Amino acid sequence: MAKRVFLDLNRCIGCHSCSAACYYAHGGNGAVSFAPLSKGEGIPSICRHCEEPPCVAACPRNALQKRGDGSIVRMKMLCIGCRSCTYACPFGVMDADLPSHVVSKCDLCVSRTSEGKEPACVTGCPSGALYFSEVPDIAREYTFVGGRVGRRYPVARAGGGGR
Amino acid sequence: MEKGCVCLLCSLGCGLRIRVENGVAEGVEFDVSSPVNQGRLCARAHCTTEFLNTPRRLSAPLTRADGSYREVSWREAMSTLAERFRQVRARYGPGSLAVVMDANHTNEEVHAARWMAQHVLGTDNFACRLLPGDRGLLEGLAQGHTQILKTEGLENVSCVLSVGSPLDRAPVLAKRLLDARYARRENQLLVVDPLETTTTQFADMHLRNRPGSEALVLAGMLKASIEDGPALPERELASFLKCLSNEAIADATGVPAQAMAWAGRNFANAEKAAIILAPRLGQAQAMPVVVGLARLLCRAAKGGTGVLPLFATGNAVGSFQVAGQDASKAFPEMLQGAWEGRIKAMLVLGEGALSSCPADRVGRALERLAFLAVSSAFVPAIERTADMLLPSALWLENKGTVTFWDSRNAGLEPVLPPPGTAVSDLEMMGCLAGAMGAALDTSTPSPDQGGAPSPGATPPLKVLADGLDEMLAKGLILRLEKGRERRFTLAGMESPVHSAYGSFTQASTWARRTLPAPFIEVSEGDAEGLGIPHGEPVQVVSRHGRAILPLHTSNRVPTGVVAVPTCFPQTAGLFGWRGTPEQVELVPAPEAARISAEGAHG
Repeated sequence: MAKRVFLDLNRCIGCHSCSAACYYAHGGNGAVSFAPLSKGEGIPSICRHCEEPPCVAACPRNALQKRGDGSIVRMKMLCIGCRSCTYACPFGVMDADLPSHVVSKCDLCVSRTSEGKEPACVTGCPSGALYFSEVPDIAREYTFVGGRVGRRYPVARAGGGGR
Repeated sequence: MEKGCVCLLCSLGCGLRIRVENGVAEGVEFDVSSPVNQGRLCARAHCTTEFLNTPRRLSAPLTRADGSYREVSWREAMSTLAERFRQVRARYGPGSLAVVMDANHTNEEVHAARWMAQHVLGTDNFACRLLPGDRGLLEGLAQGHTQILKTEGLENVSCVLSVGSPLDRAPVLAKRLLDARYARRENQLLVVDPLETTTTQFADMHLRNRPGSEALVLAGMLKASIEDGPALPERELASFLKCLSNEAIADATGVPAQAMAWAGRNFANAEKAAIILAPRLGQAQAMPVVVGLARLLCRAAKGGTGVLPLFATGNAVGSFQVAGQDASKAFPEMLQGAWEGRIKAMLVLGEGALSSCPADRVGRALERLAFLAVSSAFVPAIERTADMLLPSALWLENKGTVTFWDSRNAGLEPVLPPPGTAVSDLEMMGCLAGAMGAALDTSTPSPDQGGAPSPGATPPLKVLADGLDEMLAKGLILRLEKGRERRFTLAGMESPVHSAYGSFTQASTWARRTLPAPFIEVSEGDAEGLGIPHGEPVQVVSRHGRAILPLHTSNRVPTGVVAVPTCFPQTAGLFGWRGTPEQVELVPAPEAARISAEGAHG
C-alpha cells in the first residue's frame, strides 16, 4: 500500500512552513497552497492523490497521469497550462496562479522518498500535524465522530479550546 | 555537500543543514539529529538560501560621492573610514563618535565592537540594539535567579501558561507544546494575550487582557494562587498583593476576576507547570515585572518547573550579556545625540540596528550626521543617508560563538564563503583598528560579563511592587478617552512567515508573496464605527511615527485595539523605542492626505 500525506487538524497551527518547504524543495513551484478559512488564517491544502482523479480525466493533453503506486504526477513538458485540472479538482488543491503558467502538482517528493526520506512538508512540519503514512494505518488512528473525522485525542471538547 | 549550522532568525537555535554546491547555497535540508527541533523548521528557516543569495547583498565596499555610490577597495575604504573618524574626533572630541550594532552578531563581535568604541575610538557611545521585548525580558531575568526551562522540559507538563504568542514566534515549539497539551485530558494551556493568535486557538483559557496589562493579570493569578497555596517567602509582596483589590485588577486589565482566580488556582495546583514568555512590541515595558511575577508564580505553584523565554532575535542573550545592560539601553540616546548634533560620526554594524525604526524620525536624525558608515549584509533601508556601505558576512559565513535562551553557547563555523569581498564584522573592525593605529581585542568574552545587575540597582522585589503600583495608579492600561472615538491602543502582531526585523525574509520571494505588505487590523465593530471598509487605506498616527496602511477587519482583535504586524519597518516604527503600549489615531486616508496638504500650506 502506498503512503500518503495526511493533515491532522487538531495539530495544524497554520504556520505556512509546509508551503515554504514545498516551494523551496521544488525550485519555486510549490504545490502546497493555503486554503483561507477566515481572514488571515488557513490550513494547507495538499493533493489527496484520489483513487478516481477528476484532474486526470479533465486534462486534455494527458499531462496528468496516474502512476503504478496510485500517485498522480504531472508531466511538465506536456502541460499547456490550460488550468482544466484546477477547475476539476474537488478540493481546490491545484494552484493556478503561478508565474510560470504551469500548474504545480504535488509529486509526493519522489526525489526524497526514493532516498528513503519523508516528503519535505512532512519532515519540516513544526507541530507534527502532517504525516506520511499508509491509508489503513491512518484509518485506525482516526475515528468518525458525528460524521466528522477526528483523531483519538484524550481532549475534553466541551467548553474548552482547541479545534 | 551538506553542512550543518544553526538558525539565528530567532533565539531558539534550531539546527539545519545547508546544501552547498561550489560555494553557493543551493537548498535547506532538515537536521533530524538536532535535539532542539529534531528536523522541524519554521517557514522563516526555509528562506535561508534565498537571503544568502539575494541580489540585494553587498559584495564590495561602496563610498558615496556626489549622490552616487562608487566601489572601492577595502584598503581605501578602511583608510577613508579611519581618516574621517580621526577628523571628527580632532574637531569635536571623542564624544562625537558612536558605534551601534544589532543583536544578530557573535559574542566576539559584540565584545570587539565595545572594545573598539572604548579603546580605539575613545568614546563611551556604544549601543547594542535589542528589540524592546527582548530587552525587557533580559532585564527581568537579570534581576534574580530564574529557573530556565529547556525545550525538553516541556515534556509531561500538565499546565502551560503563555504570555504572548509562542507559536507565532517559534512555531517549532508547537510539537512539544501540543504533545504536552494532548497527553492527558486534564492538561491545560492558559494564554494571556490581548489578541487572538495561533496560540489562543489551542488554549483552554484565553485571558484576553488590555494591551500592556500582562503584569497585572499575572499579579491577579499570583494572588489567587497564594490564597490557598504555600505562603511566599516574600512577605512584603504577599501583603502588597493582598492589598490589591480583585476589582481594581479586573477593571484595569479587562479580564474578569473569576477567570484570573481560576487560572491562578489551576496553575498553582498543576502537577507540573511551566511558563512561556514571548513578549511582542507593545508588551515590552512591563516585562521586567512580568518576569519577576512569573518567577514567583513558578515558586508558589505546587509543580512549578521554570520559565521558557523566547527572544525574537538570534543572539539577544549573548549580546545583552557581553554588551551589558547600559549598552542595551543606550540606542535611543545615540539617536537623540545625532538629532541634537552631539554625535557627528556613527558606525552602524548590521542593518537590523536601524531597519525597524520610525523611518522619518530616524532618517532625519541620521541625515544630520557628518559621517555615517553602515556595515551590513544587505543594502540597508537607509542607503541614501549612508556615506559608506561595507559588505559584511552573515552568521552562516562567519566564525564565532552565540548564546541561546538556555545559556547554551553554540560555536558557528562558516558553511560557505561570503559573497565578493565581504568579510565578517570582526575582521572589518580589526582592519579599522589597524588603520587607526591600534590593535583589537578579539578574545572570546566570558558569557556572563556585564549581564549581572549593577550594585546600586533597585532590589527585585521593590521593582515588582513599584511596577504594579505605578500601573494601577497611572492607569498604564490605556483606557479609551471618552469623546475621542478614533483613539485606539496599539498592539503588535507577529507573523510566522517573517523574521523579527523582516530584513532577512524580505529577500525571499515566497515570504514576500505570502505576506507581502503591512496592514492594520481592527475589530469589525470598530471598522463600522469608523466607517472605513475592509481594504481601504487608513492613516495610523502614533507619537513616534505615522503610516498609511490598508485596513483589515477581523474578530482576532478586541474592540478599541489596533493590531499591526511588527515585521515591517513601516509599522515597527509606530511603537517607538521602548516598546510601550501606545495610543494611536486612525484617520481615513483621503482625509489624511487633505490634512497633510493643509499642513503643508499652513
